[in-house]
Amino acid sequence: MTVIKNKGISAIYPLTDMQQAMLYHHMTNEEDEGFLVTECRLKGELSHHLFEKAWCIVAKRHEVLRNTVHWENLEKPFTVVMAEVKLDFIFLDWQNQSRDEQEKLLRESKNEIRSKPINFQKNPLSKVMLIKVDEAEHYMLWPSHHLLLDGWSGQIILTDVLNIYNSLKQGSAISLPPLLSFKSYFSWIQNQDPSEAMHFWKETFAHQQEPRLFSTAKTRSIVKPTRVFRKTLSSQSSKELNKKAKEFRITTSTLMQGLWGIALCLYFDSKDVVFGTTVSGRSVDIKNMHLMAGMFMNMQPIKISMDPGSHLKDYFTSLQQQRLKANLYDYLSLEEINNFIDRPNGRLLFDSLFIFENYPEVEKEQNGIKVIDLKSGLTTTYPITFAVVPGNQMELILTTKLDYNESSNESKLLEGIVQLVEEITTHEIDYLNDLPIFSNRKLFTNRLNVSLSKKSERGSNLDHIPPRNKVELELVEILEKTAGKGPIGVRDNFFELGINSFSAIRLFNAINKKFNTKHLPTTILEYPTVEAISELLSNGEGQKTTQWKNLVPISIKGSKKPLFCLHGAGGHVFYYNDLARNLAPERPVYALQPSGLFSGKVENRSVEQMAESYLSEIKDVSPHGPYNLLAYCFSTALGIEMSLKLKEMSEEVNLIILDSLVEQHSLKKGRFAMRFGGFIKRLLKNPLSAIKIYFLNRIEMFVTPAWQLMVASPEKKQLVRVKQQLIYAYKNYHWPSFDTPLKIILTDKGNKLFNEELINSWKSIYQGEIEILNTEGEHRYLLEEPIVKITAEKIDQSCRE
Amino acid sequence: MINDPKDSSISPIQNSVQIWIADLENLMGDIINYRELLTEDEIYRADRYKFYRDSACFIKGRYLMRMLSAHYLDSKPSSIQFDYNSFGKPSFQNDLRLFFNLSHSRNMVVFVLTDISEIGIDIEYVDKNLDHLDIGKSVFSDSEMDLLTAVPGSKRAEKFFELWTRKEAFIKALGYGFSMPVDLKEINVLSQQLAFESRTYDHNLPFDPSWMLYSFEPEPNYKAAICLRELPGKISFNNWG
Repeated sequence: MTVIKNKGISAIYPLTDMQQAMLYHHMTNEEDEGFLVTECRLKGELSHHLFEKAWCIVAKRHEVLRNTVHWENLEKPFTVVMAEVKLDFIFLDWQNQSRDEQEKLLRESKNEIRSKPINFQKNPLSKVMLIKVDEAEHYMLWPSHHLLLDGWSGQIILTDVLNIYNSLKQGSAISLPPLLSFKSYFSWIQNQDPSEAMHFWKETFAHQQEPRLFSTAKTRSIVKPTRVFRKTLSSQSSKELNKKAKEFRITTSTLMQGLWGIALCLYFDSKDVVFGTTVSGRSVDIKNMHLMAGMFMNMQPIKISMDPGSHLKDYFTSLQQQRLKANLYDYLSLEEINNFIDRPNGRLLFDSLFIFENYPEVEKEQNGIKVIDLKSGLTTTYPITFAVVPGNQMELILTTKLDYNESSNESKLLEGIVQLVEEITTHEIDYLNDLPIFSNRKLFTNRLNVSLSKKSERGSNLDHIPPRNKVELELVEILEKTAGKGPIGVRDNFFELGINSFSAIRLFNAINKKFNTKHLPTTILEYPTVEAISELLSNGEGQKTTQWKNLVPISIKGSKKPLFCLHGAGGHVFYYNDLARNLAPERPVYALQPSGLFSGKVENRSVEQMAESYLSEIKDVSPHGPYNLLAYCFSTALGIEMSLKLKEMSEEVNLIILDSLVEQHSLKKGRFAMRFGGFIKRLLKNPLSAIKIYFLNRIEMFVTPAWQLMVASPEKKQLVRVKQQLIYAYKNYHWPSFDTPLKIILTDKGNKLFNEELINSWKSIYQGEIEILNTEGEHRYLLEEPIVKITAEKIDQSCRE
Repeated sequence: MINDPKDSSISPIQNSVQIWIADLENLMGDIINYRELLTEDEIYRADRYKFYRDSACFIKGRYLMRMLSAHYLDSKPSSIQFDYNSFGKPSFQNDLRLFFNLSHSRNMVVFVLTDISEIGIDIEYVDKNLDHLDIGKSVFSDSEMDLLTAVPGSKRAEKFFELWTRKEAFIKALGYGFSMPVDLKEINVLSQQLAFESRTYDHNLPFDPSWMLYSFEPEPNYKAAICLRELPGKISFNNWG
C-alpha cells in the first residue's frame, strides 16, 4: 500500500489470494486458462479516432488498465499502477476483403494473439484491436487476463468506452461517476473487523457432514476432458422464472441456485449439499465500487439444506437470507472462509461451481452503435460448473471435467434442472415434495444417474483404494484373476463385484493355497472385502502388516518384471496411469509417491532416506531384481540413489530416464519468468539455461493440480508443503557418480544442442555407457495419449526381464 | 426395439419344464430401456455393481425374467411381484403353482420355469484354464473325484463343469445360496438322482435326497443343469432372439 511518487509509478499493491492463485497457474501451466480475448461486434458508424481516444481516457480512469505485475526475484509478488500507459491501439481496415476472407483473417488474428503469452511486466492490458469490416460494422479484440480483470470488469470497461465515445462524438462533456483508487479499496478491507463474518460462516457450516463430491480424492489433479452441455430456455420459461422470483421476493440468481441445489440433492441422494459460487467482491463500502474494474471476484460456498416437507417459498427465502448475509462479506477470499469454518487441511468443501453471469450489461445501443456478440468467458477447472446466463432466453451451460472412471451421467444434471424449471413455472406448488420430480423420484433417479444409489451408499464405491500392503496386493491379484476383471479396490464389496458361488470357491482355493489357510468360501459372507479378508489373514498369523506409505500399485497383473515409476517434484504420480495402460499387458506397474501427499505428516527426508524406504516397499512386491526404475524430471536423484543402493545389495538395476536432465539446477525464484518467447535468444547465449527452462516449464504442468486455477484451495497447502520438502531434498542431494545400467529415452527437440546438453549433463556423473533410445513426440506430451503409446513401447524395450 | 418371444413357439405348462436360453449380446439397445421394466429395488441392486458389465447383466437378466414370466402368467412384465427367501431366491408372489430359476455365465443366460416342483438351474462357461483337480478337491466327493481323475485331460474341464453345475443346480433348487448348510463333498451328483456320499452321514438335515438332476449343453463351451423333484416326459428348449 505504499505510494511511491517515482518514475511514473503511482502505487504498489500486494496480490490478493485470488490473484496469487491466478499467477501460480500462469507460471506453472503451459495452457494459461486465465488468458482471454474479449471480443465483440460493433454495429453502426464509428470513428476509429474517437474510439481510440475514448480508450485512452478509459485507461486514465481505470487503474487496472495501467497495472503491471512483478514477481521475479521477489519475496512476494505485487502489482504496480503506472501513472500513464501508452495504449497499443491497432486499427485495421478489411472492407475490401470478402466475408470469408475477413473471417479467416479474424481467426488468424485471434490465434496470433493467443500464441503470444501476456507480458505482465509491461502494460498487459493495453492492446486493443479495432477492425473495420463494413461501412457500419467493426470488430473489437482485446486481450486480457483474469489475474487483473474479473468477469464483471470487461463490461464495466466497455460501457465506459462507449459512454465516453458518445460524449466525444456529440462534443458534450464527459460525465462519469468518479472512481476511487485501489488504495481506498485495500484500506477499507484492512479496517474491517472479521468477527461478524467469522461468526456467520462458522454458524452456516456448523455440523457440516462430509460433503458430496464429484471427483475422488485420488484423481483430483489429473487433467481431464472437458465436455459442455447447453440448453436455452424459451422466452416464456425465462419470463416465468423471473416472475416466480418476484413472487418469492428473491433474486433470479437465488432461484436458480436453489433449483441447482435441489438437483444436486437428488443427484447425491442427500439432504445437504455444498457448492461454490462466484461473487463480485464489490460489496465494499466505498463510493462507486460497482463501477470499478479489477480482480475483486471471490468464491463462496453455498450450503443447501433441503427438507422435502418444507414450504417451497421458505426453502428459497432462507437461501436468499444466507446469500444476502454472505454477500456482505464478499471481499473475503475462500481461503479466509475455510479458515473461519476450520475445515481440516486438504479437505475440499465443494468441487462444483454455480455461476450466475449477472455482469452489468453493456447498454446495447448508444448513439447508433450496437454491441453484439460480446464474448469474454470465465474459465474454470472444477469437475462440474453450472453457468446461468440471464436474458430474454436464459441460457444454461453445464461444463464437466471428469475422468472417464468418475463420470456417470452428470450431463443429466442439466436435464434435471430443465425439468425443475418446467415444474416450478407450470405447476402451483406449495411444498418441496409437491414437485413432481420428488414423487416420481425413480424416474429422476433413473434418468439422472445410473449409479446414483451407488454413490450415496456407504461410499464403498466412491473411492477406488488400491492395495496398501503386501497381503492386500496378493489378495487383489488373486481376485482380479478369478473374477476376470479389474481394477479392484480393497474396499469393493465382493457381491457388488458380481462374485458368484463358483468364483468364491475358486477365490478361496487360491487364497488357502497362497496363505496356507483353510477358510471356507462362505467366509466372504462375513468378510466381504479384500480389506476384511486381509485383516482376517493377518490376525490369524498374529502379525501386523504394515501399510505402504509410498508404493502405489497401478497395474498388478502380469509375469514380466515390474516397472517402478518415481514421482517428480510435485509428488503426484497420477500422470503414470496412461503409461501403465499402454505398456505390455504382462508388465506390472507401480508408482512411488512421497509420504504425506494426501494427509498426515510431511516427513523431512533426504533423497537417501527416501530411496531407502522406497526400496523396502519395492522389495515387498518384487523380492529380487532386475529392477526397472523409471525416472522423469526431478526423480533423477531418487533414481540414481536407488540404483546405488540396489547395487550395494548385489541386485541388478536398470534405470530408465525419460527425456530429462540429470539435475535441474535452477530451482530458484523467478525461474518461471522466462517463457517461450525469449527462448531462442536465450538459447544462443546460454544453451544450458535455455534447455533447463524448456524442461522446467513443462514439468510444472504435471505437478500443478488444475483445480487451483480459480481458487487457492486448502489442498494446495499440503501439496505445497510436500513439494517444498521434495525440492529441498533434491537441492541438497550430493549427486554421486554411478555406473549401473542407464538408458535415456530422448525426444527430438528440433535443435541438436538440446539433446547434446542433456546427454552431457548425465556424462558429468555417469561412468558407464549410456544407451540412448530415440522416440517421437514432444517432451511435455510423452505421458499423454496418443504419444504415450510410443513412449510405452520404448520403455518396454528398455526394461530388463 | 426389444424382441419378444414368439407366442406360437411356446408350449403350455402342463407337467413340463420350459428352458429358455439367451445370449445377452443379442439384447441390443440402450440399457435404459431395459431398466424401465424393473422395480426400484431391482434398480438399486443393479446400481450397486461396481462394473458396468455386471450391472448390465443383472438388468438384462431381470428383464428376461420379467418378460418370460409375464408371458406365462399372462400379466404385464412390470407388474409381476417377486418374493425372496432369506437367501435371495425369487419366487412369484401371486402364483404359487409355478416355479422358476435363472442363471448366467459370461454372456449366456438360462431361465427355467415349471409347474412340477421347486427348481434350480445353473450354467457355467467351460473354463479350461483351471486346475480342475485341485479346485475339485474342495467341492467334490471322493467318488466324484475318482471319476474326474479318470477322465482324460482333454475332457476334464467339461466333466468338471458338468458335475459342478449339477451340484449348484441342487443348491439353488433348495433355495440356498452361499451359505449351504451341508458339506458339498457329502453330496453325490453322479447319477440321475441325488445321493449322499456315505451312509454314515448325518441324515438329520433340512432336506432329503429325492431330487432329480438333468444336464444339457445350451451352447458350445457351456454346461448347464437343472434340479427338481421329478423329471418330466418332455423338456422344451427355447431360444430368445
